[in-house]
Amino acid sequence: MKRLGSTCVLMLFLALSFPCAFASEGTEADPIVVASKQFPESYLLAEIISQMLETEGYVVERKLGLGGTKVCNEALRRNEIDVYPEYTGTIQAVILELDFPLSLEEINERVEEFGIEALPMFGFNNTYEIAVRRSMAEELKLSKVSQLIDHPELRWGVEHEFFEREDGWPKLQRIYGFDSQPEGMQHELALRAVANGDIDVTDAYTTDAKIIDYDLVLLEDDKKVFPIYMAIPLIRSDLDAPIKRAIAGAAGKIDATTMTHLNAQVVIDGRTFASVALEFLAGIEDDSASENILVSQFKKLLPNVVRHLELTGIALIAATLIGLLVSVTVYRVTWLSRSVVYICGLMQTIPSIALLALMIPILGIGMKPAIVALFLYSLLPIVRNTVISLSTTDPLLVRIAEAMGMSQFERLRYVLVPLAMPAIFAGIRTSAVICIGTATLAAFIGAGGLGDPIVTGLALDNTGLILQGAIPAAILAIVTELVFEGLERLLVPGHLKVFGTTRSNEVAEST
Amino acid sequence: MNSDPVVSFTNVGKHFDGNWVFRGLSLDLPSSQVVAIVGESGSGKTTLLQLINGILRANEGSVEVMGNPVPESGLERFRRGIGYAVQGGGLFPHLTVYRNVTLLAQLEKWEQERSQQRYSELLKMVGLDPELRDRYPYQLSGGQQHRVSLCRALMLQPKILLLDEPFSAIDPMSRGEIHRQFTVLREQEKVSAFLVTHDLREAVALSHYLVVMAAGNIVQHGRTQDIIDNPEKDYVARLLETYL
Repeated sequence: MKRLGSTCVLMLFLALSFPCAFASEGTEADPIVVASKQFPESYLLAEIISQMLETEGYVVERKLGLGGTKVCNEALRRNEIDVYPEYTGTIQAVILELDFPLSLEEINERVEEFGIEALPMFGFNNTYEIAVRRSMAEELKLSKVSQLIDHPELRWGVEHEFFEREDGWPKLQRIYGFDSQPEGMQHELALRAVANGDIDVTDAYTTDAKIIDYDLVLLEDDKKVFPIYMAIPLIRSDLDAPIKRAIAGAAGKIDATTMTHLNAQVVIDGRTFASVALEFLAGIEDDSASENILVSQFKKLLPNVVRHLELTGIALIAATLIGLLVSVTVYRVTWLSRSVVYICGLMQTIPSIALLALMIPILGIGMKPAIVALFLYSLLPIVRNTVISLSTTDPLLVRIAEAMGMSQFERLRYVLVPLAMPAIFAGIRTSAVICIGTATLAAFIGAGGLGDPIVTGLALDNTGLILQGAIPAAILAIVTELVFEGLERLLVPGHLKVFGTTRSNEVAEST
Repeated sequence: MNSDPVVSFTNVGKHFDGNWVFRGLSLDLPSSQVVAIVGESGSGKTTLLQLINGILRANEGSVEVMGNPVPESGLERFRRGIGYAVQGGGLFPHLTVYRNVTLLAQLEKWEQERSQQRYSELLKMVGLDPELRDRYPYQLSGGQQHRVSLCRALMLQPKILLLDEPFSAIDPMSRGEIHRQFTVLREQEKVSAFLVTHDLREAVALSHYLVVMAAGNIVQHGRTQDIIDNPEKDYVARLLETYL
């Protein structure tokens, strides 16, 4: 009885904390939500916008590194964010899907219907460039993109978005007549790969600090393929006029040289976005502002861990409750339980990052879609172990329980479920560890957690930052294993454990 | 002796996927006695037993228990009036001895004290130390497991006890003792016991009434002593000669 009691209390506590976790997401003073894409310049511009707003006395919520163009734009249209830095060329080609350049006025005429608005330009054009190693450029005497046609042996690696978007690789390939098949890569990794010689050609941005750092050369776009990418703040058109004025404050003040310089301070000097932005806005050197990004991120470790546990905890509890409920409902009907296990399995074959992305149109960004995705991900081990172990209970014991006059529920409650406990536990344990690992990807859709330093680290190509997320996540996974081991010792009678372990091994092997 | 039959089979037929175990079987079983159903494997004796508590349903004819047909619904209530014990004991491995024996009493919401008392009484009757209460089944010997299983079947003081080869896995040395304890127990509990066994010697030792089955037919049934004295068929006579 004591055993059941403690389980009930635990479940009740967790069930109660469920709605609270969602409620705590709703904020009190309706802050202005500033987001950015996942590269340093976008972080910096968003930070500059945030600080300008804060100077004017507004409360700002930062969702920096939220996602790519589609994620940010979708979030803006769904009123989940209020502003993020965008580029005119991106609006024209990706958002409006047009193949001719637009002025700011023309853009605003066309995006009005989505409830969004482009504010005046920051003052620099950050377009795509084609970058190669300096040593290779000198050796092959390369200075123009069109010369690459004579070198089909060169290996291309381009950013995923560049590869897909109409004004990126497809147009480049069409106009210049390349027939290489580029590999899709994360942007910073591609630059490093060019520098290392792992690949030879990649796409880059005009203001990319790493070009200097890696000693790369930009080739002249002699056929004028790449459109103009003027940086602008893209906002919700229903923001109050004073807010719009505050955001537009930096219009015309950042030229390409300034931007490259700002980027370099973050990417090469390892300073925080906040300190670089503050220094730029204040126009002076500020010692207190030159904090190292590793240190500043490290201070966020505890909140990140808490958020991580929140994401995985809620998803896992929901998966356990619903998984068990579904399992006990279907285990007796073979075709039904097979279909359920099959559907849960299907869920797991969707790559986690894709599953997270699929959630955005349905649930937007932030914790909710991340939790739902993690929940779907955790179902399989729990459902599979529970269904298999319930349906393979010793038939003699099932018959005795029936012959003793136990009802369907009593048989489950007193015989089947307790006997399946070790296997159920093994399933929950597996789910928990999967969940903790997968939750690091939740940062890609703005859910925070230990994925945050990883996303930022990828954007900055900063291994230290990546490890700040990866190491705690690994430790968390190990601790979770140990906690479950302890729980199992507490809740399952000793002699069943051996039996249970072998059985859950069988379960694992049978799939 | 009570003259009303406690269980009556009338023209009962049972098949599995079209293979008939028996058809047109009629039999009245007397109450307050030990009825042993003997026969070789596949003779249909276990099927007969499981028709009594509705684990199996007859395809033809009717099975009446204490004057009423085996109910269609409310089987749980009906079955709690019928004890059930099987070969190997069939104790729940995740429950202690005490929890195994008193599980049904708990479901019936008995007072703790009453459960405790009944538990101790039963264990003493089968010669077990009630102090075994916190042991798990794997910590008991085979003989102990069978005795605990008997106690579990009798916990709610059923009027009928169904036993499916309950003692066959016990070594012959302890079997004599458990037989004696069973006889004492049954008399004290005044329960009508139906015992399925392939061991004719056990059947003769324990039963007042004997049903001999072979290949889905009842070869002979009647008071055990009468059958021993007057085997009607060669089959029964040969059986008696071989085993006794």
